[in-house]
Amino acid sequence: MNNPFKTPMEVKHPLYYWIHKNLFSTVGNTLLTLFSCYLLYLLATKSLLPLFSWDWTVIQANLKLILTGSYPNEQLWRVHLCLWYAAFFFGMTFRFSRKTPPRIMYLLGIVLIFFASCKFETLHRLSMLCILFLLFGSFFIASKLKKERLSLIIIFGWILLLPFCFGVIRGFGGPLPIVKTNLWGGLLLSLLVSLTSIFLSLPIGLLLALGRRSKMKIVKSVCIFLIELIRGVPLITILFIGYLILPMALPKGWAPSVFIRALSGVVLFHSAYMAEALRGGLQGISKTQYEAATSLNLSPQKTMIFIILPQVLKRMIPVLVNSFTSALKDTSLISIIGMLDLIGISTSIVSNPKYLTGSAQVLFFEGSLYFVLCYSISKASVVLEKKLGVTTKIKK
Amino acid sequence: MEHTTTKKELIVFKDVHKWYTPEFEVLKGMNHTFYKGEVSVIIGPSGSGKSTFIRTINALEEYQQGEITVDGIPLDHNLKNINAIRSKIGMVFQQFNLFPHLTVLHNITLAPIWILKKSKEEAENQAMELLERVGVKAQALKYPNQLSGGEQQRVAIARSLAMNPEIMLFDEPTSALDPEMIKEVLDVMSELADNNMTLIVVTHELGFAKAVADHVLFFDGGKIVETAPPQEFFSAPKSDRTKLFLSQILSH
Ligand SMILES: Nc1ncnc2c1ncn2[C@@H]1O[C@H](COP(=O)(O)OP(=O)(O)OP(=O)(O)O)[C@@H](O)[C@H]1O
Ligand SMILES: [Mg+2]
Repeated sequence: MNNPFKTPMEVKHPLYYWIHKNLFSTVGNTLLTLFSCYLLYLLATKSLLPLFSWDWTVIQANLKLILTGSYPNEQLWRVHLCLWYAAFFFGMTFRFSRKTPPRIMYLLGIVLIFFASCKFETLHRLSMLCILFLLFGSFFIASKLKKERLSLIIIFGWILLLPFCFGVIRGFGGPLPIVKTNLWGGLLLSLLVSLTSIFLSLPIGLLLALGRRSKMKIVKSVCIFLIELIRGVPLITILFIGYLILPMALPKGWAPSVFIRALSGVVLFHSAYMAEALRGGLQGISKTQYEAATSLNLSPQKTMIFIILPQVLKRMIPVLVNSFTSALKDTSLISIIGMLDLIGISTSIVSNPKYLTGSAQVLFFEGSLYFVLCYSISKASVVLEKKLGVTTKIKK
Repeated sequence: MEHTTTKKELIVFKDVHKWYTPEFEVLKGMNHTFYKGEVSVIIGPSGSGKSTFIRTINALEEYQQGEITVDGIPLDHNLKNINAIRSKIGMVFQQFNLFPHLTVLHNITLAPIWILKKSKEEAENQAMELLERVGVKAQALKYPNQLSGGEQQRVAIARSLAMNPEIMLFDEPTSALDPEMIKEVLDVMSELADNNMTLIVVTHELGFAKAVADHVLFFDGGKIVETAPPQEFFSAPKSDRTKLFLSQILSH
């Protein structure tokens, strides 16, 4: 126990040593410490404590609206079904990255049990337990599967997530009566729009990026035109064009619903940005990788799929996460064309005279929702990066 | 082993010209025939067109005039021909060019599985045999950047061999290696030569040329200045340009 880099004092009283070294080593340091303590004190008494004394009835009364908008109450189980689907694949995905359940799963579990014990309707409380069960259940199912089989299931599961959700939430008659998109709202709408734009902007952006690098003049110019046009216009403008001008330009009855128009606007916008980001990533791959693949007689398509894209996507995880989080937040702009997403709903709740005093609470609540979502995306990306070994396996 | 009296022509260059830009002619009328089972070493000063020359053989570079045939197949714009030719040729690069996102094993099995349609097991068995042959079997599950340069280059050789080529092209395979690793790569190449594979090697390793080559080709200014068996080439070079070049590198 004779560490040459540690003084005897440090070995004997590590805590005192740490406090002395980091907080009070010099006069300036001591002053800084005292000042920070004062700031922390202010923060606690002026901002944090009041949070607990706030009146949260506005949230309680409107929770359903904030989460799902005017989605019919008796159909809410369909939203739960989507959550179950997601929980199932979350569990599997966690298992894919590690052997024991990560801390976040236990945290989720506690939160779910907490919600299940709150006084919601029985359906919701049961659903929380169901999610919990699926989350851990699929984790252990996954441990019984072979790694390769598991990764295939996970990939298909996530690809099918959106079609599944759209199918279930919209419905198609019979046991699942159609719920019109104008009834969708709140967090549900925000998530559907942003997840769609995240899932679709990647492949569309990829096609645009590849098109822009194509040797065929026409393909190339069309792609450049599209990218530059969409990037050169603010998202709001695109949304308004879809909202106001498209119905006028198309024959009567041809224009798709506002939801579809808003959705395609958001997807196009993010695809254009994604295309440029991906093009940057593609340029980062050295010509020699193409040559090595060509000398093995791999066709350009196979080279792209097996050699180039895996490297590009791995390197681009931070960039992709950046676009994903901004896609998640930018979606809130659709409230401007009257869609009742998280922001749209909050605004309408706040403007209700009954809840005049609740605006801070609503803002705080929606802010926290967004934060939790974005933070989980970036957390997940860190896990993914570690798993794929981006930092260690690709040097140059 | 029986000796056949007629050697089989494998790669034939007829008056091949290449321009990178209209003003800049890199290959200025190449005429040469490579025979099956022979080892040809190409040497020459930097910028003389050695890399360009060997890269035209598997169509990594196009040429604008003349004619190249590989095993009777004309190398032209016909994609079928190009693919047929590439399937006969393996290439090893100066910078190894392994795929960094795949393990050594997967680097080798990728092309056999997707091009030769081998089963995963078959491809992996073959890959392990090849890795044993080049002496890096123990590293099969590592990633390329966890290997030394010499090991990477031997993996690159194994990767090419997995496609069962008749011809192997080497473009300065040892130039990016530390001296102590050069030998292990040259040994693998000599072993290929012993097994009667057709090799075309651009290199500055004169020792290798003397020991293994059947022919030495000397390039200068986009032309083949001199072709001779190694003993003759090194002891009695004919052209003055060759003499100058040899005296320069031998004086080091
Ligand atoms: N893609 C290219 N575009 C334009 N010029 C090129 C290109 N590649 C090579 N060159 C030029 O062609 C000439 C021959 O190049 P090449 O790489 O074949 O030479 P080399 O004999 O292999 O040289 P070294 O020993 O340095 O590798 C050089 O002058 C080089 O600058
Ligand atoms: Mg060269």
